[in-house]
Formats: sequence, structure tokens, C-alpha cells
Amino acid sequence: MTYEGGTIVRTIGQMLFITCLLILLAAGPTLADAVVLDFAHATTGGAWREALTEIIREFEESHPDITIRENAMKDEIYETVGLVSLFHAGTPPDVYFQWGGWLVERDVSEGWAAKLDEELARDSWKDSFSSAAWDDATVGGEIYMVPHGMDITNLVWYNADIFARYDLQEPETWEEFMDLCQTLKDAGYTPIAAGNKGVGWPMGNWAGHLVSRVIGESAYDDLLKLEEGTSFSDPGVVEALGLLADMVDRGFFNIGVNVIDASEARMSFFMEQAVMHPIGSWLVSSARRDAPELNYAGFDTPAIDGQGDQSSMIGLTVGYMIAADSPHFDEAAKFLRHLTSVEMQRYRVEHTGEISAVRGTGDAAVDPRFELLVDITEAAGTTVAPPDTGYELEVAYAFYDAAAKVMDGIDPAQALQEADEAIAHLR
Amino acid sequence: MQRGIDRYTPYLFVLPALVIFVLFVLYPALDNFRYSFFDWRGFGPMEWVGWANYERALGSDGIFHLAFRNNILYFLGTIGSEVAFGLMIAFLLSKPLPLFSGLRVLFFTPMVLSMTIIGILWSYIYHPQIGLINSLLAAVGQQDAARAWLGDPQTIIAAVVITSGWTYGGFFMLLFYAGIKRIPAALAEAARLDGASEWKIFTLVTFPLLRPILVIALLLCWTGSFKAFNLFWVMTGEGGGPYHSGEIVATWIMKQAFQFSRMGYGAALAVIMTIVVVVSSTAYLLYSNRQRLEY
Repeated sequence: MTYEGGTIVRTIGQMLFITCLLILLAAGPTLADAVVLDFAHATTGGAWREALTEIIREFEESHPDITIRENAMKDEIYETVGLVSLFHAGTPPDVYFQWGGWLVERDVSEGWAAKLDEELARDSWKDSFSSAAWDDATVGGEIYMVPHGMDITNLVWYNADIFARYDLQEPETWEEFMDLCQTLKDAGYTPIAAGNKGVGWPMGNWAGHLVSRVIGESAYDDLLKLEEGTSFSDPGVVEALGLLADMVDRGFFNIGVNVIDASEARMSFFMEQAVMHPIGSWLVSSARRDAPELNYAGFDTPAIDGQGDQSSMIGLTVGYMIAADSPHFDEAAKFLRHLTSVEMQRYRVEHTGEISAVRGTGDAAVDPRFELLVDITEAAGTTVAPPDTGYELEVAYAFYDAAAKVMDGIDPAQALQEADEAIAHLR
Repeated sequence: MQRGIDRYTPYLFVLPALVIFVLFVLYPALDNFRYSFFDWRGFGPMEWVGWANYERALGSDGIFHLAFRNNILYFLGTIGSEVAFGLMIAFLLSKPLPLFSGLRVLFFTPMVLSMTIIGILWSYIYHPQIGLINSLLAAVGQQDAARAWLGDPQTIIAAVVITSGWTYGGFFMLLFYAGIKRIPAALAEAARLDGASEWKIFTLVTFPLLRPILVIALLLCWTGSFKAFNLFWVMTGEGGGPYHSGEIVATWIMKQAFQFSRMGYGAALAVIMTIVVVVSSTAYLLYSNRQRLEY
């Protein structure tokens, strides 16, 4: 007895095999010639996500032999375990996003980052960037990061309509700021929306800026580098966190600051449940998508009676790096040239309102808040690095813990002493 | 020759599982123990430091001690929220009454959800402004009792314990239900005929006969408390709660090894945790096996 089913199965199998062969033959040349660039970054949402998608699409259209394969992670994951895991696992990206400063130094010391001086010198590519952007991108006099933008990591955004309603002006001093908060509280508003859930970087960054304003930028740098003779319990540091403690005592923040995260606090500000929100320059990008009708503006942290530069801002340059072991350096460089071209950066600024490190983009913004960001950047005498990108993470997180404790009403001196104990093993 | 093959056949059947166990459990565990004697970032050179990591863990690392304490509190809490709750529900739903089988399924349902989803769901239930609990308290005029459940060091562990009870209570209910069904009905009948109340039947007949299952349940609770990671990580926003008030050993190990790139120190913490769990579990089982109740 013959099994006719076997003939049918064999025939189907043969047809499938031939089909697969034809597909492979058709795709073969493409597969063989196409370069896949692995691109790791922390852009998972917002207006920049949309703009980046378009920029990548345009690049792939103009470079059909190069495909960009993205690996996007939430920024807290990316900064801590995400990127490091890619390198550990032996699957480093070809191109990756990085925050300037300590993280670039770390990548260079681990041998992960490719030198870019030669490539930047070609066709005067380097001259297309703002000269201020290179500090955070340079290690030992050599450039390892292509600057992309400048993030101001903390300024105070406010609801302009509510300010106008009560005839309030942007405060120039800390005392004026406290009076303004009190006026808003007396009027029944929550003066400030803050969300510090997780590692506590939103309030930690602001606390870092306050510390630098009180003790001076150089002393702040020494403090977070754990230089000999420094301590979190120094009177100036306690004084700086005391400013936050005073605001907490006077009820200027929403309840549960340490329980809600930055995005919830941002939504609270967008929904006009609070009048002010201390967060970074990326709020402009979020507001364009989530609260296009909101009338808001911002100001840098007001002047404090301290030893630091009272015009300082807290921020850093961000950019993209090429992996030292990438077999596709030339293609990676092509992609970064495209990404940082004036045309693409003008598109980005127009779409997001973020500050670009590329010259010739300043007039591209349609959002009026962009001018504010540029003004703060240009007026800042000094730029202070945020704790978690300018310094070792364990030190930064110990400092953030202290700020979080202060936000819960714990005495600053006690909080900072416990921070000192937590990092004692690093000294 | 046939007898020779028969002698080795059981070992051949066990061999694949043994190979996988050695490759993916034993070897990594031993390698982890080796790492614990080094100062190592997980990449780059390894520097021998001897017992320094252990000295730090047992001596100056206050956050590790806090995390360990939180684990113990979590275990003690889940004895009530998971084991006791599961036992109570199993007993109540062991009667062959209408809808009771459906109720048993309902109580078990949370077990099929992902821990991450459960963590996010309960984070919103505990939300200080829009959460269900604070909203209910306000609705009954008790707004003063409202608080930031996951942001208050006094309540954060209890909040996770309750979530854990909601999740795993059904599993322990099933465990005890199976045990209750094994008990001959004649024993309870005899007690009833002697005039015993339902409570006396539970405490003097049912509960003692459930002892073997209770032993296993408590062991699962103990080991589970050290395995707990997802709920704490999600509900505390990956930070261990406000200044580590919700930190447990697993999350602290994760941070040391992967966030701070202190792989050697993280390995030492993992070794300490393993020793504590293995020694305590073994001692507990040896002690429990001394007493048996047959029926």
C-alpha cells in the first residue's frame, strides 16, 4: 500500500525549499552588501523620538547599503546597566549615545570609545560645532564624542498665566523665590510639583546646583570627587540642603515627592495642578506634545548668598560616540555626520525646541522657550556638572539619597552624615 | 551485559539534567564565589582583596543590614498575608457549596499575572493623589489617614506585603485545599458528633493534619522572600524606596553589581545570602522532620 500523503508532503517540502532559495538569491546581494549599524541610545519617547525616527529614515533612504538597528532603553536603565551590559556581553553597539563628562571618561578608560579627532578634522566637520561643546567630549586632549546638544538639567519652569494673575515676577534672589512660593501657597496653589521616585535624580540635581551655588563650583567638584578633606557634612553643604528643607517645612511641594516619578510631576504641572516644576530643558520637547496650549516660561535657580557663581547653570553636553571595536567606523561616521548636519539639526530644533551643539541652528526654533534656554546658556558664567553624569554613580546616588531624605523632612545634617557613611569605603 | 546496562541506565537518564545543572547553576555559583574575593567592576582587571568584601558587608554596609532586616520583615509579613490568608480561604472554601469552586479560581487568578503588571497596578492603588486607597479613605471622611504608602518608610514594606498576599494567597490556598481534601471526612464527622464546633474542628483536627503542608508553605515563604525582586523593584521605582527604606537583599545586590559596577562586592553579598538561606532552610527541614503525625 502506498502512502500518497508522503508524496504530497515531499512535494510541499520541495516547493518550500525552492521558494526559500529564490528569496535568498534575491536578497543575497542585499544581505551580503548591507551594513547593519547597531545604534544604542536612551530616546524612548517625546518629540526627539519622532524627529530621530525621521532622521534615521532619511539616512537609510540616502544610504541604501546601511541599515540602522536601534536599541533604545529608558535613560535610567541605559545609564546604569544598559550600555554597560552591551559591552560586557561582547555585543557593543557601533554608535551610542552618551552624557558628556565622567561617563565619556569611563568609556575611554575601558577602551570602549574610538578617537574622533582625525574624522572631525576631515572636511572641517569639527568647525560646524559650537566651541563650548567640546569640554565634555574631550579626554586627555582628545575628542571621543560628537556633540549633539546641551541639556540644562535643572531650571524652574512656571505657569505664566498664574504668575500674571497674581502679578508675580521671575525671582532674582532666593528670598524673592521664597516670597513668591508663599504667595502661591496662600492663594491655595501647590507652588512646586516635584517627582523624585527612584534614584532621586530630579531633586538630587537641583540640590547639587544649590550646593555649587553655596560652596562654589570648585569645592562642589572636589566634594563629589571625594577629594581629601571634603565631607558631605561640611557646613556649606548642610546649608545648601537646608534651603530645600526650609521649602519642605513651609509646604511648598506636593505631597509624596519621593513616591511619584518625574513624569507624573511633569503631568501635574501640565495639568496646572502646580504652578512651578523644577526640571531640565527637555520639558520643552515634552510640552510641545503633551501640553501645546500651556502658557509657561522658566528661570534659572535664583541667586543665593553663597561663594559660587550665581549665574551658573547645571547642565552638560550630550552626544554620540563610536565604539572602538566597531567594524563599521566609516559607516558610523557617515551616520553621525548626517545626524549632526545643519539641515537635520535645524529640523530637530524646530521639532523639539532643544538646544543643538551645531552652529547655524539657533533661529530654527519655533518654540519661544528655546530663546530662554539659549539665554540661560549664554548668560551662565559657569556650567556645573550634574552628580550622576559628572561623577561616580555610587557617590552621586549617596548624595541623591541625602536630598531625598531632606524632601521627607529629615534633618539635612543627619541625611548628609548618613551619605558620608554610605560612601566611606570609597575614600 | 544486560545487567551492566541496567545498572548504568538510571545515571544516563539523569545525566542531561545534571549537565545542565552543573553548567548553569553549580559552575556559575562557584565562579561567583571566586569573584567575591576580588575588587572587580565586571570588566577590566580584577584585584584580589581577600575577605575585604565580606568584612564590608558584615561590618560597615548599613544599607545591606537594612536590606536584610527588610527581608526578614517581609517574610514575617507574608506568613500572615500569604500563608495564613491562604489557609483561611482554603478552609472556608473547602465546603462543597455552590460558587465555591469559582471563588477558588478567582483567588488563584492573580498568580497568572506578570509580577511587573502587578507591581504597576498596585503602585497606582497606593498612589498618594489618585490611588484607590487614599480615594476610599477620603470618601469615608478619613482623609487624614491617607498617606504616601510607598513613600513612607513606615508603610512601604507593609504595602508590598499586602500586594504579595493578594498575588500569592491563591497559590497557598490551593496548596492547603489539596491537603484538606486528603483528610478523611470521617475524622471531622466524628468530632462533630462529639459536639466540637467548627473552630475546634479546624484547630484540633484539620490544622494538625496539615502540618506537613504548613512546613513546606513556610519554607516556600522563607526562600521566596529572598527571591522577591520584581515587586520591590517595580513598586519602589527601581530605587529601593525613599533612601533604601524598601531595599531588599536582591535589589541591593543588583545595584552593587550592575549599577555601581561593584561585581566583586555584589558577588560577596550573593554568597552571604545563599549561605543564610541554605543553612536556615536545611536546619528548618531537619527540625521539622523530627515530628510526624500519621493518620
